[in-house]
Amino acid sequence: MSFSKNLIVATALIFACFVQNVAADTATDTVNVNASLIPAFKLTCSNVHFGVWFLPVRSGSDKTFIDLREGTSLQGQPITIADISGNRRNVALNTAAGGAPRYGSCVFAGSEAAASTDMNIFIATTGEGRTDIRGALLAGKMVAAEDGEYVGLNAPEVDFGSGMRFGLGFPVTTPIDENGAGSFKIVGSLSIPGTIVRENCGAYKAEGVITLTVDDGI
Amino acid sequence: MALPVVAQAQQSGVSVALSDNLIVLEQRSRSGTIELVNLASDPTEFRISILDVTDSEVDGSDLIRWAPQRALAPANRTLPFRVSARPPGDLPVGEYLIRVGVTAEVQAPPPIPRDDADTEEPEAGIAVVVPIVPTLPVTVYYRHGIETPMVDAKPLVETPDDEKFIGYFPVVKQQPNYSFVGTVQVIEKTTGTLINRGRLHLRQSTEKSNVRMPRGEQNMIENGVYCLQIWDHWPGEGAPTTEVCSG
Repeated sequence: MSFSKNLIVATALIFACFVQNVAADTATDTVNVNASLIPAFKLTCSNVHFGVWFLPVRSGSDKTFIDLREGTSLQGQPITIADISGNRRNVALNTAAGGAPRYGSCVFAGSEAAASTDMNIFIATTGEGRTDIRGALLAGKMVAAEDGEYVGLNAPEVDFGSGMRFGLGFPVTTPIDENGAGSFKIVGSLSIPGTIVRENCGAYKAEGVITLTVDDGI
Repeated sequence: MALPVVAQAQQSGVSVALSDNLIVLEQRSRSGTIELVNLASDPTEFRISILDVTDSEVDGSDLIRWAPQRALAPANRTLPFRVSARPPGDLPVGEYLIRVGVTAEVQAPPPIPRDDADTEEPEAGIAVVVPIVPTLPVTVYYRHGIETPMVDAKPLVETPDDEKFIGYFPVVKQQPNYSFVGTVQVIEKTTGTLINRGRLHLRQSTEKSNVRMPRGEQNMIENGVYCLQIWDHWPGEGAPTTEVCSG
């Protein structure tokens, strides 16, 4: 057996002796448990739903306009009110599940800015349309959605082309509260063409991707 | 004509979250990281894209690198978003910036498969939706060969008739062309009451601003001494860089 191996064996034997001769003992120590809670800067937005509408097959140039706005229920709860104007003949809202109009809303939290700093709001679209990112209005056109993409309706066989258009309204700024949070609403307006054929019926969505950005930089 | 009111049900929405939306790089510290935060219980794909800077801002897209462009964050986890400055040797002294937009990739639910035998005649309805995609911008500054920008605080302006604020301290940049990223804190010194505290971020194009004092549940304390303390960094640590007091 080589010298190194002898040394290893000897060391193990000595250690074993020490282990055998040490009486069982207890020891205590403290264990620190740490957890850090850091607020994330978060933005949540919901879509603007104009709802599901029954409209007659018709021809002509008289459009139907639908405007969404904030309202308050008799119980004091926030609600969406849809105002109809223009050609209202035989127009009705389908109030079944999924058919209710709802304005959009955004909530943010976790901003590091001091309280009462203005949160700046910007909106843009990749689709055709006018974007006034500092004027609180975005306009664009509606295109066919995918089958079943929204409220279970299929895409129309024939969409309106450039005929159905929408506009959005939102604040340019909103204050940040003492907790770094805040919220705002996105209302909308919709114009439906005067001429409708049965093949136009179905689900529509805004063309392109509409992004809403908030920034607490002044 | 207004339709009968419709109850506003609690809406679910699309979310995007970050650990922070601002990174300041300097010659001595040319890299930085924030976290893309997935607060959901499902994996979320983040997409990061460059945003335009305004004409009055100095574009740093040639020298500030960032990654990733797309990333999938596991449920309830974060992913790092890293930036670094690669200044060329002959880069003029100044401050440069990029701005990127972070979006959580929308994961559309799969369509419910329909049994043709159960398909009813579709109703003659039109459904209209405007999807909104929330985006958080991240501003990245690189300061090359410049001192840390600072602001001057002006005397307190009291607004006793304002319903929201009891007053404000105007602040003005010392270096108009550079940004300011620092900490502001307003206290009432006689009682030690904290009135307001947070980060102040003035863009390159912004020359001045006001640090407001929310009214809250209090009015101005009679004979109170209100002080604005400013640090030239965030978060502010140690003694403030400057302090201006009323009275």
